[in-house]
Amino acid sequence: MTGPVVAVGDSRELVVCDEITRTQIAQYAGASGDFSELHTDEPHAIAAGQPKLMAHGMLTMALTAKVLTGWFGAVAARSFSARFVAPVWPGDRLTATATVVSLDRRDDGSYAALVSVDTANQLGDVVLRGRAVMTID
Amino acid sequence: MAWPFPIEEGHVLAFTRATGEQAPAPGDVVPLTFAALTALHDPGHMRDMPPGGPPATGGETLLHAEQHFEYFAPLRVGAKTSVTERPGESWTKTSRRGEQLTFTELIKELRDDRGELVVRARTVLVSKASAGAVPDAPPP
Repeated sequence: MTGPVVAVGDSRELVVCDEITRTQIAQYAGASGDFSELHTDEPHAIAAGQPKLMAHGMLTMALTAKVLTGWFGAVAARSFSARFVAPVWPGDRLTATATVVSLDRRDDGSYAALVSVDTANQLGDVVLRGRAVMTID
Repeated sequence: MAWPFPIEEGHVLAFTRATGEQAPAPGDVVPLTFAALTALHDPGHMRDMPPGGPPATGGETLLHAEQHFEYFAPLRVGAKTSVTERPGESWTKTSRRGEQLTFTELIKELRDDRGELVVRARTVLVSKASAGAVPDAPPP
């Protein structure tokens, strides 16, 4: 019998974005249709109490997904959840760390890996906490 | 209400340019969070937005708190899907700073052209009264 190719506690770290830019936030607004003024209108964002434009949480989640799909492949995903715990700003460098929390053997002989994934900025502050279930044949 | 959400190659390319990824080829699986980008084809999206931009929120700040995806089948470039949307649960909570927070859920389901569920997406939004928020300035 062959076991899974990963073990509980295995971890991968990936810089998922070297530097968040205003252009990138605008690109994501266009692709997603989320033109909230907090993401697209810096004078308004500042008037609303923010230091500058805020990146979309979904942009951070999309970037975070790279560490999961780079490790397990895109077709392996069964679920992916995230809490946006701190804002992401232009200039931030984001690093995602994925760790296998548990492994369950499924009826078809494959494995389901529960993976925690945290993304932090250049100061080490966590901006996203996530979980995913990825299958391994 | 359901609306069509074709998984268009150009739309996926725009998404991957924003995230700095290689765009998948037709027939390949799209990035994990692409299923959230249904607004482009939502006939009601931004339909009533005034020329000066999004309407003022009356001092209330609406933020995206959580996002959850369940994948039942791979979503591929070129697929023809349809989207349904319904409200989920709603609850309130007081923050550590004493702010009243209102959480609301929005649930979207993507189905393929045979009606089979492909992705379920649950969005949790949080709104709070913000002392720093100001109404939008009138358009020039």
